[in-house]
Order: sequence, then C-alpha cells, then structure tokens
Amino acid sequence: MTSRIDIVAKNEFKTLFKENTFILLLLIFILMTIFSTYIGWSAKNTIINVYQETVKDLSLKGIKEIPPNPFTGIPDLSILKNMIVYVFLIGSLLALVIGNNAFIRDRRSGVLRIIFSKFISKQTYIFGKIVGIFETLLLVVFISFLLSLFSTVLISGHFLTPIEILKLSGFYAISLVYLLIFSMVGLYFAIDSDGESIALLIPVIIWVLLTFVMPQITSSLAPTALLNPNNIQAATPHSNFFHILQMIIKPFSISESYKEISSILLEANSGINTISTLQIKFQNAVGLIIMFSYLVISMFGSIYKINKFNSCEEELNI
Amino acid sequence: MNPIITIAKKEYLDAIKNRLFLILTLFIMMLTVISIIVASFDFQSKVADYNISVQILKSVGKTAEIPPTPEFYPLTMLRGVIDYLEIIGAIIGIILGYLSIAKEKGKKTLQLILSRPLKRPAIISGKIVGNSLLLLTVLLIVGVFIYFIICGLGKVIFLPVEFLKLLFILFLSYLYMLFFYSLSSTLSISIKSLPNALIIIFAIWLIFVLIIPQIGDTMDPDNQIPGGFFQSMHIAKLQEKEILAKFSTYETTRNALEEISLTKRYERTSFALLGIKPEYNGKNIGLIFHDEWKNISWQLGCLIAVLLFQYIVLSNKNYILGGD
Repeated sequence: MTSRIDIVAKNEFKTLFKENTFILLLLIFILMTIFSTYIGWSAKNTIINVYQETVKDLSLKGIKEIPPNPFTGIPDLSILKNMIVYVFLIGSLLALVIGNNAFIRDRRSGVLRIIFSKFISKQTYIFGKIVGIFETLLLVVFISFLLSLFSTVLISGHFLTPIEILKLSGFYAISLVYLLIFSMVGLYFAIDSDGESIALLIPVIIWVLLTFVMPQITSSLAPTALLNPNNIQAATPHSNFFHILQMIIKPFSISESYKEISSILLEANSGINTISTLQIKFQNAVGLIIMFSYLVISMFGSIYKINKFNSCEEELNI
Repeated sequence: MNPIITIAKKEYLDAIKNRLFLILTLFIMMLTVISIIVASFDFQSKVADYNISVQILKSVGKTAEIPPTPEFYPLTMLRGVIDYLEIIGAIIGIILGYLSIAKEKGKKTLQLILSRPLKRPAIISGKIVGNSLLLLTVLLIVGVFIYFIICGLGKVIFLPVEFLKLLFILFLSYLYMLFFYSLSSTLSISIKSLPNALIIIFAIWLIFVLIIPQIGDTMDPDNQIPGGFFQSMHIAKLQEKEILAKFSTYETTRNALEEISLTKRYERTSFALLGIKPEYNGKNIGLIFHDEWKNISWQLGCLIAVLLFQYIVLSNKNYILGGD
C-alpha cells in the first residue's frame, strides 16, 4: 500500500510542477519572500532616519523630553514580518488552489474511473494526493526559509544565532501547518462539489471568512488594515461586545492565531533568548491546538468524502 | 427584438439563476451587516472611552485639556463595506466574467450563435450590458440594505448630501466591479484552458487588490508602530509633513506603488466621500471631486482600456472558433 501511495504522491508532485500556472504562483511566492525582506529593511532604515530627523527637529525647538527610539532593540528577524502577511494571504490561497486542483484535475480529465478500476483503492489514492501536496508545500516553504535566511544574513551583515535560526524554522513550520489546512479545505471541496467553479468558490469564501471576517469581528479592524503586519497586536476596543466576541470567536480564528504566534517568533524582544521564554501564552497554545484540529478535521473530511465519491460520474460541470 | 437586448436579457437571467452568483450576493450582504455592526460598536466604545477620559480629567481639575467630543458621521460606518467591495466586489466581477465565457466555451454555443446573422460586437455588447445591469442590481441591493440598516434600524437620518455621496460611492463601485468583469471575460476567452484562466485572473486580483496596496501601506513610516509613529513622538500634522518632505524619494516611490493599483484609487475616492479622511467630513461633493479627479479619471481610464481590449480580443474569430 505504501508504495502505491508513493506512486500517487510522486505523480502529484511531478504534475504540479509541470503546470505553468502553479509555477507562476510559486514565482509570486518566492518574489514576495524576497520583497518582504527588502520592504522590512527599507522601512526600518527609513523610520530610523525619520526618527533622527524628528529628534533634530524637537531639539531645535528646545524640547528636552525626547521619546526613545521605538526601534531600539528590535531583532534582525523582524525585517521578515511582512512574510507573516504574505503566508496567510498569498500562501494560503496558493495552497487552496493546489489542494483543489489535485482532485479537480483528475475529475475533469475523467481518469478517476480508470484509476479506481485498478488496484488503487480510494483511500490509497487520497493518501497519495495528501502526501504529494505535503511534499510540494514542504518544498515551497523550505525554499522560502532558505531565501529568508540568506537575505537576512545578507542585509544584517552577520550570521544569525542558533536561537534565531530556530525561531525562523519555527515560523516556517507553523506556516507549513497553516498552508496545509487550506490545501485540505481545497481538496475537500474538490471532492464534495458537483461543479468546478463552486468547488473553487466555496473554499475562497471560507478563505475570506478566516482571513478577513473573523479577525474583523474580534478586533474591529477594517479588513484591509489587517494586511499591515504592524496592526497584528493593535488594541481592541474596550467594549463588552468585542470582549464576548473575542472570547467566543478568537480561538477559532486561525489566521489571528497564526499571525500572533508568528509575530512572537519573528518580533519577540531581543532580550528573550530561549524558546522556553518566548511567552507563548495560553491563548496562543490554544490557537495552535485549534490550528492542528482544523488540519486534522479537513484531512479526515477529505478521506471520508472520497469514500462517498461517485467515481462513475459522467462529466464535471463548470 | 434588438440582438443586444436579447443577449443582455439572457445573460442577466442566466446569472440570476446561477447559485454561484446568489451565494456571492448573499455573502456580500452578510459582510455589509457585519461591517456596520462592528463599526457602530467600535464607535460606541470610543464614546465610552471618551466619557471615562472626561471624568478623569474633570476629577483632577484639568477641564481645559478635555478633548473634543467624537463626532458621529453615519457614512464613516461604511469603511468595512468599502473594504469588502474592494475584495468581494472584484471577485463577483471575476466570477461573472468567467461564467459568461465558461458556459459558452463548455457547450461551444458561441460558434452556434455566430452561425446566425449576428455581428461579434453585438454579442460582446449584449454580454456587457447584461452583466453590467446585474452588477448594478447587486449594488442596488447593497445600497438599499445599507440604508435600511443605518436609517431603519439605527434610526439615523441621512442628509441629502450624504445620500448623494452614497449614490456616488455605489456608482464608483459599479465601475470598479465592471472592470474586473471585463478583465475576467477577456482573459477567459483568450486563455485556452479555463482553470488556468481562473488561476491567472485570481493571481492578478491578488497582486492588484491585496498585495500592492499592502506594500504601500506597510512602507508608510507612520504605520510602523500601532497607533502611528508620529503620534508616539507627539508630532503635529504640520511638523510631520515637514519631516517627511526630507524623504521625498521614498514617499514618491511608495505613493507611486500604491497608485498602480486600481483598488487603491477606488479606495481613496470612496474614503474621501465617506469622510474616513477627517478633512473631508462635512465637505461638499464638488470639493471632494476637485481633489479626487485624478483617481476618478484613472478608474474610468482603466475601465475604458479593458473594455476596448475586450472588444479587440472577442472580435477575433480565432478566439471564439478555437473553443476549448
């Protein structure tokens, strides 16, 4: 059975790379990794210069109580903070398309009837697809990790400490889990839906709900304001309405959990040196557990749905 | 009956019957409700915070330092709605454009229609008119919904100028969604594989609707700290401008990047009309248009360009007869 899973996984892995649209999206992902470092570096340098100009201006006006530089002590990894937004925005949508396409492609071409008439069972087939998707995303995330590591070293001018590399690895490991969730949601609806467009549209709606709507309800931030990594830890309004909503919805808002945990890993104060003192609070631990729960549910949902799938379907609707 | 009207009617009825369209329309209505509720609770929270601050200042005798009362402008409650129209409105346009071509490609009906004495521009015009009316219907539903929630449930009375501003915003939203419809239908017919076309359209949507505005926003020096860098340094608006003038190249690059995005242009005009930019609160429409004419012209220019592109592409018989 394992070798058959491997065959399906390898086929999925190869097919994904042969598809030009996937390469286009992968290219966007890699470019954004490089951009995120550049933007982080450029913004940090500019704000330091703006601070110095502000200090000069205040001194000339005779003001002696000058506020401290808000960027003092910020770790090197913080220049990668834009990556958090790109993973939950671009990465998740890319993963969704990969998961969706993995099954829709075979439905569209009509090969499922042939595949399931051979020795491959539905479970073996879907496990193979999941492994193939996992390997693909792992490769994307690993390339992105290497690019981030290389670009941070290049910009900061020194090698990262083992702790910093561990934090960066932690960030990419959580990113991989986050991407897998969306790929499994895409896969689930590719199996369950009766048409190609609806199979893509429903996961996109779920993506909008998780990425924009749930964080808006719990933080009251406007949807586009959520795309600014500096707003991740913005204060929420002091009203009972928001506190109650936060208590009920926030644990299930995986995009917020992902952003907060990633933010701790990349932007934690430089005074914090060990992983054990990273202050991953109870709420974040719950968020992490719920993220894994989403992954398990969507994965087993896909496995359950494949058993119900009619492999003799005539033609896939648009 | 005029063939353009016949095709437009068919397009309209086809889309109304499609559950994809219904799901998206219901979704945007749900998001409208959520956005207005969240914004109203946020405002109530700000008023409560203000009242606490006033009490504290009065108790310590610093009555001179009491800040001005937060003013309520009903249109500012619609910020979230504009954000969702930017995101979901574009998706509705994309889905409509994609479906209007996908159904023809799948059943190869375009070839059949062309066997009749019909000119290609008439087919394109019919499709544009039909889908354009459909977008207007969606926006009208959203507009009525907004009016019902704010005026009906919220017991707020819109001034005539506010009502007019809302109508202009809906018109700008219509132009914005029509742009994505035209882009999507053009690419759906010119790219051979329909799924690839959809992924490429989504990639374009992602870049221009979400990524470019995000980059511009993230690079803003004032956005580097929650609450604003200049506020944390106790710097007034005038001083802020003087300091930023010394970084003109950086600011010009950042602004140019933002201005590439049609979404950002649409957002700027809409925010000015809504009064999200405080300087525009209570200002007349003429003044807002005077300041925003570049953004409005850009939006119109993009739409005309994509419509022309659509006529050129769809008039090419190779695309239509090639099928999928």
